[in-house]
Amino acid sequence: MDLAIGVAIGVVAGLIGGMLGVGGGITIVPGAVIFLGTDQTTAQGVSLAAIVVTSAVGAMTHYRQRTMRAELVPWIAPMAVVASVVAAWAAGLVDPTWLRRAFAILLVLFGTRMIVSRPSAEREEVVSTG
Amino acid sequence: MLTGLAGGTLAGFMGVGGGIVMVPMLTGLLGVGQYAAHGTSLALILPIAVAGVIPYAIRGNVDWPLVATITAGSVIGVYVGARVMLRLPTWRLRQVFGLVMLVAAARLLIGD
Repeated sequence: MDLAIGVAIGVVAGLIGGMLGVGGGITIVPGAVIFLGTDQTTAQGVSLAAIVVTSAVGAMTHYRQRTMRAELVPWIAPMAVVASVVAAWAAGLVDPTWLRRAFAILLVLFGTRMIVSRPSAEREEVVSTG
Repeated sequence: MLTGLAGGTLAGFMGVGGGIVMVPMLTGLLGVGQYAAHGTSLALILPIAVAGVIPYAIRGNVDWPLVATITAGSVIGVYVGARVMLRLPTWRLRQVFGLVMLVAAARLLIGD
């Protein structure tokens, strides 16, 4: 049964990830904690590991269907990598409960903003990768 | 660069890919179209996740069998999700995006 739950979490996470451009962690972390009883820190480690493969497949799919601005990646990725290493190291020093609360608050803030805001220019372009 | 900083920090702290912060920053700050923001975000998440998982793995905080199980499902899900995305108008995607975030927040806050 745990196996089925794990796969189900993965499928939902992947669907959301592929559609919305997120890694799926927002499904995997709460999913594993709530439905599998995983502790927060392990859930986050599991999530990151799963996201490695998920995002690779997702990125390839998006690239091939031309919904990616690939030229931006070399500009943004290096800083992101440095930041994630520092933050992951720091996360091991923090009480899991505070991680959950902080995470939840961030989600509320950005989620509300997403629902309410309208982008000023709806550029629904499918970008050519020329 | 700021987008990378925000995305990476969120990823490391929260065990997620950082897309939640990066997609809004791509569309809001960098003027990327909604669909392309989603696709670009996933490409950025890959190196972030690789870098992010290493400290967790070193500290023994990764349940590898669980990773395999979840990944089996997510690989299928992400391919389908990326394809389905093009059938949805961007405003609908934003609504779904926001809703997902609120639901996740509620569950995290309540699920103790």
